[in-house]
Amino acid sequence: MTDKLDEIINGCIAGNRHSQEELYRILSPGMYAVCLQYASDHEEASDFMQEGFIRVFTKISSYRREGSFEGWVRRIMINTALQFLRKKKQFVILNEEITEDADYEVPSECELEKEDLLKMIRELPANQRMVFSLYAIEGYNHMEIAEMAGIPENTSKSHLHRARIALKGMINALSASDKQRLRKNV
Amino acid sequence: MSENKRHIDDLFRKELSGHKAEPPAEVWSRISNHLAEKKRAAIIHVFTRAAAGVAVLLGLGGGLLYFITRDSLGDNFLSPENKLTIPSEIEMLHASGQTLPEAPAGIPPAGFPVDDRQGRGKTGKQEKLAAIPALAVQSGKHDLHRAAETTHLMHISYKKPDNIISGTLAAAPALHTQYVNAIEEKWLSRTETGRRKRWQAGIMIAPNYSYRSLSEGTQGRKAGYNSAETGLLTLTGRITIGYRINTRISLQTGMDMQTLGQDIGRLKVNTTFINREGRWYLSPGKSPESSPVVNNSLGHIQPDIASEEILRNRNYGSERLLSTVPGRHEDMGRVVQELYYLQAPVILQYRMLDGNTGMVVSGGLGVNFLTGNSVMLKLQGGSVNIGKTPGLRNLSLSGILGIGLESKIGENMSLVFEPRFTHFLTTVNPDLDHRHHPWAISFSGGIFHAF
Repeated sequence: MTDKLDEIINGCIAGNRHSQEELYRILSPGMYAVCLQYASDHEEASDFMQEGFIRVFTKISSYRREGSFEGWVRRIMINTALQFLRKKKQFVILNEEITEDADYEVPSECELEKEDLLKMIRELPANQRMVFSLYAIEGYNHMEIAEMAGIPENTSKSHLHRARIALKGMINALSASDKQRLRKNV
Repeated sequence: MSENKRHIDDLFRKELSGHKAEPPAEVWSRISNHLAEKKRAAIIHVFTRAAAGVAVLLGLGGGLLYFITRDSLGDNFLSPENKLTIPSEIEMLHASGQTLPEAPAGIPPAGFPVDDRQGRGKTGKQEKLAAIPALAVQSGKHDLHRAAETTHLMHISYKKPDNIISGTLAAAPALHTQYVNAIEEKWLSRTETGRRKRWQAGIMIAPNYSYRSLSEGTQGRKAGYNSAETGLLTLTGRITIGYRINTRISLQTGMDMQTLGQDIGRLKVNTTFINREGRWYLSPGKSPESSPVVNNSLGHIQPDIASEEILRNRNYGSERLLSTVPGRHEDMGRVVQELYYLQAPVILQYRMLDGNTGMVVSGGLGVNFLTGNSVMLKLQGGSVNIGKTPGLRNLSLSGILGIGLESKIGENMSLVFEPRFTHFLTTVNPDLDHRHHPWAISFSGGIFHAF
């Protein structure tokens, strides 16, 4: 941890508003991108951000200064989003057989903008969006996701499978002109 | 995996790991407002706890003092010296040369042991002692009841100190109840004060400050509502009918006409327009996306004025009725949300102090019928009714707490002043993610008639 960040954290523990604003300024772009992966729209992402940062400032004295501080904040943001979904009872329990040879591959030359990918994720149902983000982007395994989201492990697998199929469908559905446009933009 | 293909997870991981996006500027201001409010709430919480602590200590201290004082009469009775403190009321009457009241007929009650020396003596002590029951009847004070009872028991002890005290001690609880009942019966049957009249009716009017508490739901939204909304000051009318169960406890009911609500600033308006043949119209409504929608903690206000009217009035003087700029944004206008309730309360009232001015504590439940709600848009030149909030519960339950003063102004009339706190126990709009409970503090003043 850098001395500067250490100083800011100490300021936040003391309740210093200037330090809180400084910490927000440093971390908010990364955390907002995380929230966008779990929210259905920008307004919901803003809600996650607000709730998450309030929790960060409230619980910052419990940060043990072990490991990455940004990782600790990121975990709070994800937990906030998960709690929100649990409260809204948006998790559907599924138990379906997933074939071993399911094809989740997409063309290598498919170059999509980050915003397009985020938009695709946002179009997924809440439970698929959450499981896909946790598994594919954050790197959690199904056992961990099941524990975090309070769902059976098989449900996590089913949602991931459905999310991958849906996303693959969205990518394939892009018209040739869209692909051309996207390539041009790259 | 073929060379020109890759796993879909890799595509998303590679692109979105470390991705950054600038959040809307208002998020920090909302967080900042929330933290400031939390800090204020923490300070208020500390003061409230300290005040509650002081109140508890005062209450306990006062209670202890009361019991010590009360018991001292009994202690005197039991003490070998057989000394009894003459109540200050009697001493004052005696000192001013006034005639001391005589014990009323029926006091002590039939069968109560009496002393034949009552009324004799040179220092006036016996006369003073004899006056205690009469004063107890006049004032209804329980410590005087006890003193009167003690007086009679003491007279017996004077007469036969060795054997009567022990006999009286064993019978003391039953004798005490018998004696106090006899005095209270006399007290209630007095005709000169009108207090034996058990029914009373009153009319009250109260300035009423109302707001709401929000629970559950996301902190973010609640903080947003808290920073944009404030309470509302209205007037409340009340008709009350009460029944006096005994000297201290009454049961009250009646009808309260209450206006509760909130004042909403920093309006969040979602406005969409469509263009038809060169003219702009508000897009047709599909709740809650119909436009414009004013979001607030009570729900989504959907103005039901015609779109043309909004457009026509967009330059209403120097102001706009509602912003006609398409999109989701904050508007500069103010909206007042009013809820009209008819409340039927059931209240238990306890009278704490006696005399011409008494202190009353009341608590109970109210059944609230929603008779209407309106949303007014505030403009410099007045206000415009723009509709109502849909989906509100027609029936709600509330808790009521009050503490007040009652002062007699005539034989059957009394004035009452009572600050009262009402809090809704049920959420007003069951369709929301969060729970919305209105509360109100009223300062009622009114007049009561006993009959």
